[in-house]
Amino acid sequence: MKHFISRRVLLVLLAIALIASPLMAQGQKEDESSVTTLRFLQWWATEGRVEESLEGLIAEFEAENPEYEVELVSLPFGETKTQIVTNHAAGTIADVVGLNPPWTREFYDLGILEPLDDYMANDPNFNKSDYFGASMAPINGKTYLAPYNTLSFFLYYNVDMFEAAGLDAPESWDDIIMAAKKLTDINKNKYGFSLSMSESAAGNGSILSLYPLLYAANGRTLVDGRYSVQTDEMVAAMNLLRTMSENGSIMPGTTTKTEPMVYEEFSLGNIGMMISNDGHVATLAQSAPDLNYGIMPIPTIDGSGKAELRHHGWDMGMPAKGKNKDGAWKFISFLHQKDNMERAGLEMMKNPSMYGIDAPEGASEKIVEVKGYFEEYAMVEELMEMPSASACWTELTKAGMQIVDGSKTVDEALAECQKAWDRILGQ
Amino acid sequence: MIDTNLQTNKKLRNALEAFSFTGPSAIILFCVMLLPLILVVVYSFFQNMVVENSPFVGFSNYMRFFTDPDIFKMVRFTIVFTIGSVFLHLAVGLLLAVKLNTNINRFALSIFRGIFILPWVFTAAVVAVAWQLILLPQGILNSMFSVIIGQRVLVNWLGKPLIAMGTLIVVNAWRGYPFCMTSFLAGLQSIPESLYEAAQIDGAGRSQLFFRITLPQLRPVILSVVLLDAIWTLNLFPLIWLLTGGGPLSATDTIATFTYRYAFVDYQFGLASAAATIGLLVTMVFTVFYVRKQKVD
Repeated sequence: MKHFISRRVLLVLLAIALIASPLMAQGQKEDESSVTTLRFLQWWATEGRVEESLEGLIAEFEAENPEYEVELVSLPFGETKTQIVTNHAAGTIADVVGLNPPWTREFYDLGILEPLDDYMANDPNFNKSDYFGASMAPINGKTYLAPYNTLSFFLYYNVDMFEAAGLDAPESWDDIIMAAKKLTDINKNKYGFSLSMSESAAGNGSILSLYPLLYAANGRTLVDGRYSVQTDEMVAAMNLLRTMSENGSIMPGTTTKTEPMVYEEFSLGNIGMMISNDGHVATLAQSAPDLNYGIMPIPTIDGSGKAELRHHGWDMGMPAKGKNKDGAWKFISFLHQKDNMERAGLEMMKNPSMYGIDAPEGASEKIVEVKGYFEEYAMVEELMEMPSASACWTELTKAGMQIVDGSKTVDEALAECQKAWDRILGQ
Repeated sequence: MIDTNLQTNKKLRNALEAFSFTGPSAIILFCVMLLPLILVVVYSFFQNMVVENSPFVGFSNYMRFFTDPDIFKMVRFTIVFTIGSVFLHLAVGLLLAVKLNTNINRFALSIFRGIFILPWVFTAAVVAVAWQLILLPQGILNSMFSVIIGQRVLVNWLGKPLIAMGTLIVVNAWRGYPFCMTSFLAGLQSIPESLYEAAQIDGAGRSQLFFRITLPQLRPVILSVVLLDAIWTLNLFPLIWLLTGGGPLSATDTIATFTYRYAFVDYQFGLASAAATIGLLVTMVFTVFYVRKQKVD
């Protein structure tokens, strides 16, 4: 009997503990409820130095705004885009998201983004005219991106390989063809040029190589209100790739290699030239500090006139289904304060999207050089406003693949791509 | 009267007791398995469920799916890939199972079993990265051929449509044979030794032993494995997506990569749901055969 009673007592105590623990937790929760967690989903912090910089800025934001704490959610670039869409559908989207300009129109069409105009207008610290215009282009009259870091696509060239071959930096596309041929030595696994035309990557071939070439030639895809690939400049860009491919100057594997693989080969000194964004200045500083390379705007077709740069950005946006929009804007606004942008630019080795910020003291020579190009050259961003952009650029990548591997002529491949664009865009 | 009430109460109690045991599992199964399937079918009749107030479009997503310009390539590769993979899984799995079912040193046998099962241990992502490094034009495979031939070989194993199709089948065969091998090995070990002894006394040779005893005895296992393998291969996604992304030029697209592309490249979730529903129906045909076969056994 004694034993039975002790079991009963034990059960009662257990029941009390079970009932009391959620109540105690509730009390604890009430104490903590004054702190709101803001989730910031982005791909930026997958780069070590950027993560450190963001964590420092977040700590300062939390100290200034004790009512908020920021959770940094970092995913690979392609995965970030997928997660934003799925989280939007599931209603679990973060409060602030990192955005890449080509995603904007697609996210707008899916109703993912909140217009930022009112937040910007009501914030005394935020002035639209302080920022490079490329990311601020409105969609149906409204702004959806807060520009943070600006990047562009450039021609990277291996200075040691160029000097060994007695070559100067290319000034026209003929120079690129000639240099690529001269730098290629298959037996030593050295190639003049490399690019990615893989369909498997989130950001694939055409946006990495073809669009930068198109804009260098002052071309556009939106011509007279219609998206077109059958333009003289696009034909010239494809012919450039075709000629280098026929000369054997492009490293094999174009149709399977992803951007990181091309970058890896360049950092190993196996490639004479590649087209990539200036974000790789920071990664090369870490992974290949001894690589002697140059970075320059892609020349125009014949070397005359002024090339334009394909804009690329690390921007920020606010989801329409976000639960803490005021807090989210407070955080965006904090990161956009001039001193914070200056500091982040130096720590992240990126150029902030703000006018009037000089390349910071201590910044690498390449960052200073790139900053100069941003001021000198116009930046173009068409994909930001293009509906179904990723489906369209994937079709352009397919055209590029067929041209590089010689299975279709430039005219045939572009005609097929145009047909696909017309179908996708309903134009 | 009292008896009837008691009986009714007992029946009710039994039913409640049965439900209390099976109910939680049934509810979980419904929420986790059945509900998502039903929702996907429902979504396939709407334009794009991610967008608010998406309109009902009837069978229009199905029409779009069947008129996709790349559908022929997708169907062709799905059939070739499934048949090729299942055949190779079967052949390699059976061959290795027979070899492992011999009376050799037990320690050596366990080492070989461990080695042969390795491809099954790795995740699809690891397998994809490893094979990418092997198959790149500057990869290990071409380097080996270069050494053997004495001149530089630069085959793009994943970059040309026809070659990529064959390569993917081989990679998937490498990854998938251990399941067949272990299943066949279990089947082989359950064949009574007396059958072989009797046949040998009757003068049967090695090939007769294999074709007259081993294969017929293994038939139930082979059929089950083939059906299961066909279902898994039809739905295979990560290995293909990570190795080729369905390319080059949609040559290695399957219904799984098609569905993913509709959803996360084109953001057409209605169309993606229609493709997923078609995939579900195709898989169900194999599942019905499999379930029937299990019932017969």
